[in-house]
Order: sequence, then C-alpha cells, then structure tokens
Amino acid sequence: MNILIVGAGKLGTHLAKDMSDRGHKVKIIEKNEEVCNKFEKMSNVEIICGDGCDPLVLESAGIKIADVVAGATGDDEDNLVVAQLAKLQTNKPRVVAIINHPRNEWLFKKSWGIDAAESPTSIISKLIEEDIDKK
Amino acid sequence: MEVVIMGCGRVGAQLANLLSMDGHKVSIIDMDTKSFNRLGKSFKGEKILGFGFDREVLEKAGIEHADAFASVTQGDNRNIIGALAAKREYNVPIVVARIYDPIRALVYNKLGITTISPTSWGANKIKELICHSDVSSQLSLGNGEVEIIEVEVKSNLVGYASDKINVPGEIMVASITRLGRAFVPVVGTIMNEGDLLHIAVASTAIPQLKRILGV
Repeated sequence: MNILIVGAGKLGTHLAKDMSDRGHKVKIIEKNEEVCNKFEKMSNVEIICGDGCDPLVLESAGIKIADVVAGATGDDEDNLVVAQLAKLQTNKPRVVAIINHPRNEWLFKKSWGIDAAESPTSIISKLIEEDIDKK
Repeated sequence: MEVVIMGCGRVGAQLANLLSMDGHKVSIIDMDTKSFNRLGKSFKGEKILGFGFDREVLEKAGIEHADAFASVTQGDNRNIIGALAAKREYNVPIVVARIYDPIRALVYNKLGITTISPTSWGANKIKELICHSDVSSQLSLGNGEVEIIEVEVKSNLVGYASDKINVPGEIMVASITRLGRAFVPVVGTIMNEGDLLHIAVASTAIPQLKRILGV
C-alpha cells in the first residue's frame, strides 16, 4: 500500500518505520526543516520537507495515489485539515488521524472525512479507569 | 443578526465593533484576554475567553442560534476548522473564513465555506493604486478579480452609445447616473456630458478600459 503520513514527530516516525517494516511504501511530510534534516534514513520511507496542510505539497507528495493518509501532527487543526484535503481527492484514500487534545474529539468523525481516529489521552484514561474498576 | 466571531485581532475587533454599532448582537472569542482590549470600552457585545473550536466555548458564544460566523484568527487552519465546525455541526447560515493563502482559499471554497484572502485582495488593490490611479474603483468583487469603476463622461465620449465601451466577458457599463438618477443602460443609450458611469471590469482588462475611455 502507499501510505502518506503528515507529521514526522515521534508518533509519525514510529508509524513510518512500522509500516515500512510491514512492506508498505511510505512518504512522510514534515514542515520543520530541522526535524527533516535529522530524520533517520529508512528503507521504503521518503521524507518530504513541506507543509502537509498545503494542497500543493500534498499533491507533489503523491496524495492522488495514496491508499491511506494519516494526520499525525501535534496539532489537531492540522490533522483535521489534512483529512479535509484528503477527502477532496478523487481516489478517496482511507483517512486516519491522531487526536492530541480530547476536547477536539467531537470533530474527528466520519462526516468530517475521517475513517478512524484515536486520542492517546482518552485511551490511557480508559485503561486507568478500567484498572480502578477491577480493584 | 446574531454573529459569532472567532479571533479578536485587528480585523476581528474592528468587525465586532462595526457589527455592534449597527445594532447586531456580537459574541467574540479569543484565547488571550488581552486581545479584548482592542475592542475599546464602548463595545456592547459578549467577550468569550477560550479556544475557538471547543464545543463548550462555541456554545457559550451562542453558536446554536447564530445567524453568521466569521473566523479571523492568525491561523489559516484554525480559521477553516472553526468555519467548518460552525457550518457542519451548527448549520450556521452564513460562514466566512479569512484565509491568507490564496490557493487554500480556493480549495476551501469547494468545501462550502466563503473565504476571503486578504493577501490576494490586498495585492490586487495595491497594484491597482500603483498602476491605475486615474480610474477609481468603487467596489472590489471576489478577491479583486472584478472591479466596479466610476467614470465621469468627458467630451470625448459624449454622443456615443454606452454599449460601445462593452467588451464581452471583460467590460460592461452597468449603470449610468444622470442628474442624480441612476438607470441601467440599454443598447444604444447615448452618453451625455456629466453622466456618471459605473463600469464592471475584469481587473486584467483595466488597461484596455483606460484606452477605450481615453484616460
């Protein structure tokens, strides 16, 4: 599969590595030049330095042939924008996104073009509560 | 009207004051309480402190019964998400977003949001002031692609039909004001000295219009 990830933070980078280990072709877009330069070389992963919320950058990164687009930046508004732009594409890629702040969870839904979204904070909160309930 | 504004920068504050002075009910949202100082003491509307697309904040600002929503924060992405939330989640009838990047502004028009790009508008306006200071634009439409220009009929045009000025798709005399009364000209309407013409012109056709008018 062709996977396009926006955001080469810890999460995006690990995601890229994991996906390439599983044999997928990965492109990862990062707007911070310093982060791009430090990006560790991996086979089957191409880093693109640019703003992943810019329609032209997404296009040159091959969004039109992507099977999956992942919004993995540290900004929820950016992840939402990536999802909106991905859904405008005629190839209709699957869109997944990270929710950084639980207060924004209400917007990460199907009607906003998002096929799957997760909030790490909410997951951990649920796990903690489950544990407490068991005691 | 009830209007919710997201972002109390220079544009947001001025917009809030203009609407409020016209008697509209205005709520303005900003993350920084200091931003509200821009509103001045006479502002009668609501000031809501908080993050723009937080559901609680939007509802506190009265978005559920708002007639219009404008997002004018410093961030293009924030503005577009705020506008989409107002439209999709609360069905606000009029939604406007300020988007600095003209390419993005075009893309978001596709998503049903009215966008205004001050970058394109400002650049077009300044270019016009530099290059065409002798024809005065009364109104810029869209992002400045079409201008409404006001011209007084001078002797070189007297006796000609106003439609002689028209160029299909580029220039059209939209109205003639004669002795204080405006009317829409028909084919063959003869121009008199002192008539005030309002001409719709594509900004790219302004040089051509100047040649036709002989200015």
